[in-house]
Amino acid sequence: MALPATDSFNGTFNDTLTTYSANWSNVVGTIRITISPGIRPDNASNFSGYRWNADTFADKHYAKGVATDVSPGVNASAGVGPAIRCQSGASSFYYCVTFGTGPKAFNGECITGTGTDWDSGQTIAAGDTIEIGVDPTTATTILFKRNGSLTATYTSKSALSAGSAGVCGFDSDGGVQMTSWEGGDVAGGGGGAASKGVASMTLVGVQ
Amino acid sequence: MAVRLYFLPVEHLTAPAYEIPKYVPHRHRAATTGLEGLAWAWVTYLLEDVGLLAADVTPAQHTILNGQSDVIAVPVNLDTTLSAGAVTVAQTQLETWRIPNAWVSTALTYREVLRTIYAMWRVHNRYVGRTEGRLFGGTVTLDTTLGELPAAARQRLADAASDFGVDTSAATGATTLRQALKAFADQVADQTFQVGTVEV
Repeated sequence: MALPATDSFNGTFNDTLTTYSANWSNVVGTIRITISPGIRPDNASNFSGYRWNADTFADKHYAKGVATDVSPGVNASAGVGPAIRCQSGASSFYYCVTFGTGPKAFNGECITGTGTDWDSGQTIAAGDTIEIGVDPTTATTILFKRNGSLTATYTSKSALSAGSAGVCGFDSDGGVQMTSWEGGDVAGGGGGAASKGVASMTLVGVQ
Repeated sequence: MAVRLYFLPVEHLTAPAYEIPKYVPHRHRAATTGLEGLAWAWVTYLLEDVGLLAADVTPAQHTILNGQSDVIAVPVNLDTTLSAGAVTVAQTQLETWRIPNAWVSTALTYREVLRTIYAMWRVHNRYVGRTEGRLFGGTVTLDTTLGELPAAARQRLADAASDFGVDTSAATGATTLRQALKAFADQVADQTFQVGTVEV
Protein backbone atom coordinates (compact mmCIF):
# COMPACT_ATOMS: atom_id res chain seq x y z
CA MET A 1 0.00 0.00 0.00
CA ALA A 2 0.99 3.61 -0.35
CA LEU A 3 1.28 6.15 2.40
CA PRO A 4 -0.55 7.84 3.89
CA ALA A 5 -2.49 4.87 5.16
CA THR A 6 -6.09 5.49 6.18
CA ASP A 7 -8.78 3.57 8.01
CA SER A 8 -12.34 4.53 8.95
CA PHE A 9 -12.81 1.38 11.06
CA ASN A 10 -16.05 0.46 9.29
CA GLY A 11 -16.28 -3.12 10.48
CA THR A 12 -18.23 -5.55 12.57
CA PHE A 13 -19.22 -4.21 15.97
CA ASN A 14 -16.98 -5.36 18.79
CA ASP A 15 -14.42 -7.13 16.62
CA THR A 16 -10.86 -6.61 17.78
CA LEU A 17 -8.73 -4.58 15.41
CA THR A 18 -6.78 -7.63 14.28
CA THR A 19 -10.00 -9.54 13.56
CA TYR A 20 -11.33 -6.54 11.67
CA SER A 21 -8.29 -6.16 9.43
CA ALA A 22 -5.02 -7.92 8.73
CA ASN A 23 -3.44 -4.47 8.30
CA TRP A 24 -3.24 -4.12 12.06
CA SER A 25 -0.92 -5.90 14.47
CA ASN A 26 -1.46 -5.95 18.19
CA VAL A 27 1.11 -4.19 20.34
CA VAL A 28 -0.60 -4.49 23.71
CA GLY A 29 -4.13 -4.78 25.12
CA THR A 30 -7.28 -4.70 23.03
CA ILE A 31 -9.06 -2.14 20.84
CA ARG A 32 -12.45 -2.91 19.34
CA ILE A 33 -14.66 -1.69 16.51
CA THR A 34 -17.62 0.49 17.52
CA ILE A 35 -20.99 0.93 15.83
CA SER A 36 -20.53 4.48 14.55
CA PRO A 37 -17.97 3.34 13.03
CA GLY A 38 -14.78 3.85 14.98
CA ILE A 39 -12.63 2.24 17.63
CA ARG A 40 -12.73 2.09 21.42
CA PRO A 41 -10.33 0.88 24.10
CA ASP A 42 -10.83 -2.39 25.98
CA ASN A 43 -8.07 -3.09 28.45
CA ALA A 44 -9.10 -2.28 32.02
CA SER A 45 -6.83 0.33 33.63
CA ASN A 46 -4.07 -0.25 31.12
CA PHE A 47 -2.86 0.77 27.69
CA SER A 48 -3.80 -0.79 24.40
CA GLY A 49 -2.01 -0.29 21.12
CA TYR A 50 -1.99 -1.54 17.53
CA ARG A 51 0.40 -0.74 14.71
CA TRP A 52 -0.33 -0.45 11.00
CA ASN A 53 1.62 -3.30 9.39
CA ALA A 54 0.76 -2.86 5.70
CA ASP A 55 3.36 -0.18 5.09
CA THR A 56 6.86 0.66 6.22
CA PHE A 57 7.15 4.05 7.86
CA ALA A 58 10.11 6.40 7.91
CA ASP A 59 11.55 7.25 11.31
CA LYS A 60 9.73 10.57 10.99
CA HIS A 61 6.07 9.68 10.76
CA TYR A 62 2.73 10.81 12.13
CA ALA A 63 -0.69 9.48 13.04
CA LYS A 64 -3.96 11.29 13.49
CA GLY A 65 -7.66 10.66 13.89
CA VAL A 66 -10.95 12.31 14.73
CA ALA A 67 -11.82 12.03 18.40
CA THR A 68 -15.53 11.73 17.81
CA ASP A 69 -16.40 10.97 21.44
CA VAL A 70 -14.20 11.88 24.40
CA SER A 71 -16.59 11.39 27.34
CA PRO A 72 -16.30 7.94 28.89
CA GLY A 73 -19.54 6.22 29.77
CA VAL A 74 -18.28 4.13 32.67
CA ASN A 75 -14.55 4.40 33.30
CA ALA A 76 -13.47 8.00 33.75
CA SER A 77 -9.87 7.41 32.75
CA ALA A 78 -10.70 5.80 29.40
CA GLY A 79 -9.48 7.33 26.16
CA VAL A 80 -8.37 6.56 22.64
CA GLY A 81 -6.19 8.20 20.01
CA PRO A 82 -3.36 7.94 17.50
CA ALA A 83 0.09 6.57 18.26
CA ILE A 84 3.51 6.64 16.65
CA ARG A 85 6.79 4.73 16.92
CA CYS A 86 4.77 1.60 17.68
CA GLN A 87 7.36 -1.12 18.07
CA SER A 88 7.11 -4.59 16.57
CA GLY A 89 7.31 -7.32 19.17
CA ALA A 90 7.30 -4.87 22.06
CA SER A 91 4.59 -3.05 23.96
CA SER A 92 6.07 0.41 23.44
CA PHE A 93 4.90 3.51 21.57
CA TYR A 94 4.36 7.24 21.87
CA TYR A 95 0.71 7.95 22.55
CA CYS A 96 -1.86 10.69 22.18
CA VAL A 97 -4.84 9.57 24.19
CA THR A 98 -8.03 11.44 25.04
CA PHE A 99 -9.26 12.07 28.57
CA GLY A 100 -12.82 13.05 29.37
CA THR A 101 -12.19 15.64 32.07
CA GLY A 102 -11.30 18.86 30.32
CA PRO A 103 -11.48 17.22 27.88
CA LYS A 104 -7.81 16.84 27.14
CA ALA A 105 -5.35 14.89 25.08
CA PHE A 106 -2.40 13.43 26.92
CA ASN A 107 0.79 12.83 25.01
CA GLY A 108 3.47 10.58 26.37
CA GLU A 109 5.42 7.37 26.11
CA CYS A 110 4.26 3.84 26.84
CA ILE A 111 7.34 1.76 27.50
CA THR A 112 6.75 -1.96 27.95
CA GLY A 113 3.18 -1.13 28.90
CA THR A 114 3.99 1.56 31.47
CA GLY A 115 2.80 5.06 30.64
CA THR A 116 4.39 8.43 31.31
CA ASP A 117 2.52 11.59 30.33
CA TRP A 118 4.85 14.34 29.13
CA ASP A 119 2.77 17.15 30.60
CA SER A 120 -0.49 17.98 32.31
CA GLY A 121 -2.48 17.66 29.09
CA GLN A 122 -3.62 19.61 26.06
CA THR A 123 -7.16 20.96 25.75
CA ILE A 124 -9.31 19.37 23.04
CA ALA A 125 -12.99 19.03 22.19
CA ALA A 126 -15.11 16.21 20.83
CA GLY A 127 -14.84 16.11 17.06
CA ASP A 128 -11.29 17.42 16.99
CA THR A 129 -8.63 15.88 14.80
CA ILE A 130 -5.77 15.03 17.12
CA GLU A 131 -2.34 14.29 15.72
CA ILE A 132 0.98 13.16 17.08
CA GLY A 133 4.01 13.16 14.84
CA VAL A 134 7.75 13.49 14.57
CA ASP A 135 9.24 16.88 13.77
CA PRO A 136 10.42 17.09 10.13
CA THR A 137 13.95 18.09 11.08
CA THR A 138 14.64 16.56 14.48
CA ALA A 139 13.77 12.92 15.03
CA THR A 140 13.62 13.25 18.81
CA THR A 141 11.15 16.13 18.74
CA ILE A 142 7.51 15.10 18.90
CA LEU A 143 4.69 17.42 17.87
CA PHE A 144 1.05 17.49 18.92
CA LYS A 145 -1.47 19.16 16.65
CA ARG A 146 -5.12 19.94 17.30
CA ASN A 147 -7.12 20.35 14.10
CA GLY A 148 -3.89 20.86 12.20
CA SER A 149 -2.50 23.57 14.48
CA LEU A 150 0.64 22.95 16.46
CA THR A 151 -0.25 22.97 20.14
CA ALA A 152 2.66 21.32 21.91
CA THR A 153 6.27 20.43 21.16
CA TYR A 154 8.15 17.80 23.11
CA THR A 155 11.84 17.50 22.42
CA SER A 156 14.62 15.11 23.30
CA LYS A 157 12.21 12.20 23.37
CA SER A 158 14.90 9.63 22.97
CA ALA A 159 13.45 6.32 24.16
CA LEU A 160 11.99 5.08 20.88
CA SER A 161 13.04 5.28 17.26
CA ALA A 162 11.60 3.92 14.00
CA GLY A 163 8.43 1.82 14.41
CA SER A 164 5.04 2.36 12.83
CA ALA A 165 2.06 4.65 13.04
CA GLY A 166 -0.84 3.19 14.95
CA VAL A 167 -3.63 3.66 17.41
CA CYS A 168 -3.79 3.52 21.17
CA GLY A 169 -6.27 3.44 23.99
CA PHE A 170 -6.40 3.48 27.73
CA ASP A 171 -8.74 1.59 30.04
CA SER A 172 -12.02 0.13 28.75
CA ASP A 173 -15.08 2.05 27.68
CA GLY A 174 -17.64 2.24 24.89
CA GLY A 175 -18.24 5.95 25.32
CA VAL A 176 -14.98 7.12 23.80
CA GLN A 177 -14.11 6.56 20.21
CA MET A 178 -11.95 7.68 17.32
CA THR A 179 -12.44 7.36 13.60
CA SER A 180 -10.90 8.60 10.32
CA TRP A 181 -7.39 7.44 11.22
CA GLU A 182 -4.45 8.36 9.04
CA GLY A 183 -0.79 7.48 9.30
CA GLY A 184 2.05 8.54 7.09
CA ASP A 185 5.55 9.85 6.75
CA VAL A 186 6.25 13.44 7.66
CA ALA A 187 6.71 15.63 4.60
CA GLY A 188 10.36 16.46 4.25
CA GLY A 189 11.17 14.14 7.09
CA GLY A 190 12.82 11.44 5.05
CA GLY A 191 14.08 8.40 6.81
CA GLY A 192 17.37 7.68 8.39
CA ALA A 193 18.59 7.00 11.85
CA ALA A 194 17.15 9.12 14.56
CA SER A 195 18.59 11.51 16.96
CA LYS A 196 22.24 12.12 16.21
CA GLY A 197 23.34 15.54 17.27
CA VAL A 198 20.20 16.48 19.14
CA ALA A 199 20.67 20.16 19.70
CA SER A 200 17.75 21.17 21.82
CA MET A 201 14.70 20.07 23.69
CA THR A 202 11.51 22.08 23.75
CA LEU A 203 8.68 20.90 25.88
CA VAL A 204 5.84 23.37 25.71
CA GLY A 205 3.52 21.56 28.04
CA VAL A 206 3.44 24.20 30.71
CA GLN A 207 0.47 26.40 29.98
CA MET B 1 4.21 33.53 39.00
CA ALA B 2 7.54 32.14 37.88
CA VAL B 3 8.46 29.10 35.83
CA ARG B 4 10.78 27.00 37.94
CA LEU B 5 12.47 23.64 37.69
CA TYR B 6 12.25 20.95 40.32
CA PHE B 7 13.77 17.52 40.69
CA LEU B 8 11.04 15.47 42.24
CA PRO B 9 10.25 11.81 42.82
CA VAL B 10 8.40 9.62 40.37
CA GLU B 11 5.53 7.61 41.76
CA HIS B 12 5.32 4.19 40.12
CA LEU B 13 1.65 3.31 39.91
CA THR B 14 0.84 -0.32 39.23
CA ALA B 15 -2.91 -0.14 38.55
CA PRO B 16 -2.74 1.51 36.12
CA ALA B 17 0.92 1.05 35.24
CA TYR B 18 1.95 4.69 35.18
CA GLU B 19 4.90 6.88 36.04
CA ILE B 20 3.64 10.13 37.55
CA PRO B 21 5.25 13.13 39.28
CA LYS B 22 4.79 13.22 43.03
CA TYR B 23 2.79 16.07 44.58
CA VAL B 24 1.53 17.79 41.39
CA PRO B 25 -1.88 17.04 39.84
CA HIS B 26 -2.19 14.02 37.61
CA ARG B 27 -5.24 12.40 36.08
CA HIS B 28 -4.53 9.23 38.02
CA ARG B 29 -3.90 10.86 41.40
CA ALA B 30 -5.01 14.02 43.16
CA ALA B 31 -2.51 16.79 43.87
CA THR B 32 -1.09 17.76 47.20
CA THR B 33 -3.28 20.44 48.79
CA GLY B 34 -2.40 23.81 47.35
CA LEU B 35 -1.09 22.45 44.06
CA GLU B 36 -4.45 21.66 42.45
CA GLY B 37 -4.67 22.80 38.84
CA LEU B 38 -0.94 23.38 38.51
CA ALA B 39 0.16 22.92 34.88
CA TRP B 40 3.48 21.19 34.41
CA ALA B 41 5.77 19.47 31.97
CA TRP B 42 8.63 17.14 32.73
CA VAL B 43 11.33 14.82 31.55
CA THR B 44 12.19 11.66 33.40
CA TYR B 45 14.97 9.19 34.05
CA LEU B 46 12.80 6.59 32.38
CA LEU B 47 11.40 3.91 34.70
CA GLU B 48 13.66 5.22 37.50
CA ASP B 49 12.74 7.36 40.48
CA VAL B 50 13.24 10.98 39.45
CA GLY B 51 12.05 13.55 36.96
CA LEU B 52 12.88 17.17 36.17
CA LEU B 53 9.65 19.14 36.23
CA ALA B 54 8.88 22.66 35.03
CA ALA B 55 5.90 24.51 36.44
CA ASP B 56 4.69 28.09 36.49
CA VAL B 57 4.22 28.42 40.24
CA THR B 58 2.96 31.06 42.59
CA PRO B 59 5.13 31.86 45.62
CA ALA B 60 2.77 29.76 47.74
CA GLN B 61 3.02 26.79 45.37
CA HIS B 62 6.80 27.11 45.32
CA THR B 63 6.83 27.08 49.11
CA ILE B 64 4.83 23.85 49.10
CA LEU B 65 7.10 22.11 46.59
CA ASN B 66 10.32 23.46 48.05
CA GLY B 67 9.20 22.33 51.48
CA GLN B 68 9.15 18.67 50.50
CA SER B 69 12.21 16.82 51.73
CA ASP B 70 12.50 14.80 48.52
CA VAL B 71 12.19 17.75 46.13
CA ILE B 72 15.12 19.84 44.93
CA ALA B 73 14.18 23.28 43.66
CA VAL B 74 16.60 24.53 41.04
CA PRO B 75 17.41 28.26 41.30
CA VAL B 76 15.81 30.48 38.67
CA ASN B 77 19.25 31.75 37.65
CA LEU B 78 20.83 28.66 36.14
CA ASP B 79 24.14 30.39 35.57
CA THR B 80 25.11 30.61 39.21
CA THR B 81 27.57 28.09 40.55
CA LEU B 82 26.62 25.55 43.15
CA SER B 83 27.46 26.26 46.76
CA ALA B 84 29.29 23.66 48.81
CA GLY B 85 26.02 22.83 50.51
CA ALA B 86 24.23 22.42 47.21
CA VAL B 87 26.97 20.11 45.98
CA THR B 88 26.47 17.89 49.02
CA VAL B 89 22.71 17.79 48.48
CA ALA B 90 23.10 17.10 44.76
CA GLN B 91 25.65 14.34 45.23
CA THR B 92 23.55 12.64 47.88
CA GLN B 93 20.37 12.78 45.84
CA LEU B 94 22.00 11.78 42.56
CA GLU B 95 23.40 8.65 44.14
CA THR B 96 19.96 7.83 45.53
CA TRP B 97 18.51 8.26 42.06
CA ARG B 98 21.17 6.02 40.45
CA ILE B 99 22.84 8.90 38.67
CA PRO B 100 26.64 9.24 38.75
CA ASN B 101 27.44 12.02 41.21
CA ALA B 102 31.15 12.50 41.96
CA TRP B 103 31.65 15.01 39.18
CA VAL B 104 29.36 17.65 40.72
CA SER B 105 31.42 20.51 42.16
CA THR B 106 31.32 24.17 43.14
CA ALA B 107 33.06 24.98 39.87
CA LEU B 108 29.95 24.11 37.89
CA THR B 109 26.85 26.15 37.21
CA TYR B 110 23.39 24.71 37.60
CA ARG B 111 23.03 24.84 33.83
CA GLU B 112 26.14 22.72 33.35
CA VAL B 113 24.99 20.22 35.94
CA LEU B 114 21.52 19.95 34.41
CA ARG B 115 22.89 19.45 30.91
CA THR B 116 25.17 16.66 32.05
CA ILE B 117 22.41 14.95 34.00
CA TYR B 118 20.04 15.16 31.07
CA ALA B 119 22.69 13.89 28.68
CA MET B 120 22.97 10.79 30.88
CA TRP B 121 19.19 10.42 30.91
CA ARG B 122 19.05 10.68 27.13
CA VAL B 123 21.37 7.71 26.59
CA HIS B 124 19.81 5.79 29.47
CA ASN B 125 16.29 6.33 28.17
CA ARG B 126 17.18 5.09 24.70
CA TYR B 127 18.62 1.97 26.34
CA VAL B 128 15.33 1.49 28.22
CA GLY B 129 13.37 1.87 25.01
CA ARG B 130 15.59 -0.59 23.18
CA THR B 131 15.57 -3.08 26.03
CA GLU B 132 11.95 -2.80 27.09
CA GLY B 133 13.05 -2.65 30.67
CA ARG B 134 15.16 -0.96 33.30
CA LEU B 135 18.92 -0.71 33.14
CA PHE B 136 19.14 -0.86 36.92
CA GLY B 137 16.77 -3.73 37.47
CA GLY B 138 17.81 -6.80 39.49
CA THR B 139 21.37 -6.65 40.81
CA VAL B 140 22.59 -3.97 38.40
CA THR B 141 23.89 -0.83 40.13
CA LEU B 142 26.04 2.12 39.16
CA ASP B 143 29.05 0.06 40.20
CA THR B 144 28.23 -2.85 37.93
CA THR B 145 30.87 -3.14 35.22
CA LEU B 146 30.04 -3.40 31.57
CA GLY B 147 31.67 -6.82 31.64
CA GLU B 148 29.18 -7.94 34.24
CA LEU B 149 26.21 -7.06 32.05
CA PRO B 150 24.80 -9.73 29.75
CA ALA B 151 26.27 -9.38 26.28
CA ALA B 152 22.91 -8.33 24.81
CA ALA B 153 22.49 -5.58 27.40
CA ARG B 154 26.04 -4.39 26.84
CA GLN B 155 25.42 -4.17 23.10
CA ARG B 156 22.13 -2.32 23.58
CA LEU B 157 23.85 0.24 25.78
CA ALA B 158 26.53 0.76 23.14
CA ASP B 159 23.85 1.05 20.47
CA ALA B 160 21.90 3.55 22.58
CA ALA B 161 25.00 5.72 22.96
CA SER B 162 25.85 5.39 19.29
CA ASP B 163 22.36 6.61 18.39
CA PHE B 164 23.46 10.00 19.70
CA GLY B 165 26.83 9.96 18.00
CA VAL B 166 28.66 9.00 21.17
CA ASP B 167 32.02 7.25 20.75
CA THR B 168 32.03 4.24 23.07
CA SER B 169 35.42 2.86 22.04
CA ALA B 170 37.11 3.86 25.31
CA ALA B 171 34.75 1.73 27.38
CA THR B 172 36.06 -1.66 28.48
CA GLY B 173 34.69 -4.59 30.40
CA ALA B 174 36.06 -3.02 33.58
CA THR B 175 34.25 0.27 33.03
CA THR B 176 31.46 0.73 35.54
CA LEU B 177 28.05 2.04 34.58
CA ARG B 178 28.88 5.03 36.76
CA GLN B 179 31.89 5.77 34.56
CA ALA B 180 30.24 4.85 31.28
CA LEU B 181 27.14 7.01 31.71
CA LYS B 182 29.24 10.03 32.66
CA ALA B 183 31.74 9.45 29.83
CA PHE B 184 28.94 9.09 27.31
CA ALA B 185 27.18 12.18 28.64
CA ASP B 186 30.32 14.29 28.49
CA GLN B 187 30.29 13.91 24.71
CA VAL B 188 26.83 15.44 24.31
CA ALA B 189 26.51 17.55 27.45
CA ASP B 190 27.17 20.77 25.56
CA GLN B 191 23.74 20.51 23.99
CA THR B 192 20.93 22.69 25.23
CA PHE B 193 17.48 21.48 26.11
CA GLN B 194 14.24 22.89 27.41
CA VAL B 195 11.72 21.79 29.99
CA GLY B 196 8.52 23.73 29.65
CA THR B 197 9.61 27.23 28.77
CA VAL B 198 12.90 26.96 30.61
CA GLU B 199 15.90 26.64 28.32
CA VAL B 200 18.78 24.81 29.93
